[in-house]
Amino acid sequence: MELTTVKTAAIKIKAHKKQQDRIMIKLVIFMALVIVLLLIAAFAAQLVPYDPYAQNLNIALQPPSQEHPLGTDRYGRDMLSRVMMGGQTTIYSALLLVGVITTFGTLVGLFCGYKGGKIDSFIMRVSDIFLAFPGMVFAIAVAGVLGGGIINAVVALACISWPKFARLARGQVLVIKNMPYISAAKLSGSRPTKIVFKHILPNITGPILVTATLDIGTMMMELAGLSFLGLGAMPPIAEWGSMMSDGRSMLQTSPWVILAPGCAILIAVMLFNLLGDTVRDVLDPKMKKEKFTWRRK
Amino acid sequence: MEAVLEVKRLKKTYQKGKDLINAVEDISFQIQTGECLGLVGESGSGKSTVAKMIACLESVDQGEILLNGKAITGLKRKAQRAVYRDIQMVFQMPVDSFNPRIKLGEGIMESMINQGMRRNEAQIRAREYLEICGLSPDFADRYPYQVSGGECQRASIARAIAIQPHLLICDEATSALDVTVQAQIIRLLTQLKKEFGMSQLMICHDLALVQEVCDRVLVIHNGRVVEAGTPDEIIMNPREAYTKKLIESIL
Repeated sequence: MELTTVKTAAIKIKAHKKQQDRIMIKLVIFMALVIVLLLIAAFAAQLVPYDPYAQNLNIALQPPSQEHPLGTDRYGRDMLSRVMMGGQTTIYSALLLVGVITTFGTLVGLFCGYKGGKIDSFIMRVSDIFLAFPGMVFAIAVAGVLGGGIINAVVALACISWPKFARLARGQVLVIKNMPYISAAKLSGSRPTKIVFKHILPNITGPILVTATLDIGTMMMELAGLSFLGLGAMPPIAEWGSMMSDGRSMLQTSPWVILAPGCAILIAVMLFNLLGDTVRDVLDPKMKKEKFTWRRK
Repeated sequence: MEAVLEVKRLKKTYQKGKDLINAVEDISFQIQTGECLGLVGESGSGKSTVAKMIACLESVDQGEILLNGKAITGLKRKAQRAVYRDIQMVFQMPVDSFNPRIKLGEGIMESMINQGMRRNEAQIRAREYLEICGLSPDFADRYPYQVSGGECQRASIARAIAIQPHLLICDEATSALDVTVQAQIIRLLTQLKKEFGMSQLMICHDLALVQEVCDRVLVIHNGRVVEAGTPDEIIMNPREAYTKKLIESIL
């Protein structure tokens, strides 16, 4: 009787370990792919086969060939070079955007959650206002007011996206705040800033990191969307969204002009989302080794 | 003998929805130097609230708390931090009372470092205190989830005595532990009381435990002190009906 329970327990532990190993392998693979993508984007200027901005009307709208693997657009610019260059704009703007909203949102959430009271209610109502608008519409309005340009698009999207992180962080802080170890930290005479950054922040980074990673893909799409509408990157600059908008009238005659940046967006967004999913699997508290607690029943 | 702590007509009301709940109605008591006072009562009787108010973790609605003759109620944050040199607390859930991301030693060092001690000196001291509390100094390098509940509670006592407080509050410090470990922790607390001469406030719902360690006991019911005396007096001939009920429920 006892032996069988021991055996099943052993089998369970083995299965659990196998699952963990699989997740780690997934993490390594997606991490590697994302790093490759980031490197290509970072060194696009050195890697491109042609100048992505050099126009040559003699070879306009050529289908994919050996010299131009992804064809050329209507000004005769090499699509491969432009997609690589565009990756730099799109990916790094998205990373910048996610970095900004994660940092800002988390700081606001930490402050509100720890402080509580009227300031907390006020800031949370403000974030409610931002959340009440449909995000993209609000971003279009803000970007429209600020005018075009990739930085303005980042600002517009940051305006509508920070409340999500503020709410997430605040909710987590409210849970952690009542843990005995926070009381213990107060009793040891630590200042509020030390309590927040040493005891609370490290314990809420998990969910925030997961949301941030999952958001990179979404933000990339929204940035490309704004550019597609002409509110993001300005014409000569290569950017996936504006490149797609450039080629949309030629979808039927020369589809490669729109397919190349489109597939690039697809692949990049998918990679970041898969990475986000895997990060969640790794950081999911249920997957972690069970913590034991002593409670008398 | 001089009173380390004096609590005068303490009152605390919580708001829960529309209702006001009187957690603490009217509680007064004194703790003398080197004395161990027990607060006994069922859950919800307000004993933990009293502990939190004394430790400045809760605000006080009415009444006064004097530590070494000085009022510590309604202090500003900075002054509050100074109070923590003299009052330390041991919590009910040992594992939860340590930050899971920080090693035990680091947690013990925190209060010493906050008082301006140098890091490497605090490190040595933390190991010493772990040894006083019956743990190997190596525990300083472990994380809270790597040790058992009893070991964690010893570490949390080490943290509490690391800055040699005048008053040690034990808020149900043993109720999350099993019986044999309970006895060890109780023995440790009694030994510390003798060694360092610190006063203790034991919050407990277990009269049998109180009998072993406390010099004096207050029975609390619905936020009021219903009976006071030495543990033997109270257990041998309880006067109040509530106390009788408490004793019956144990035996």
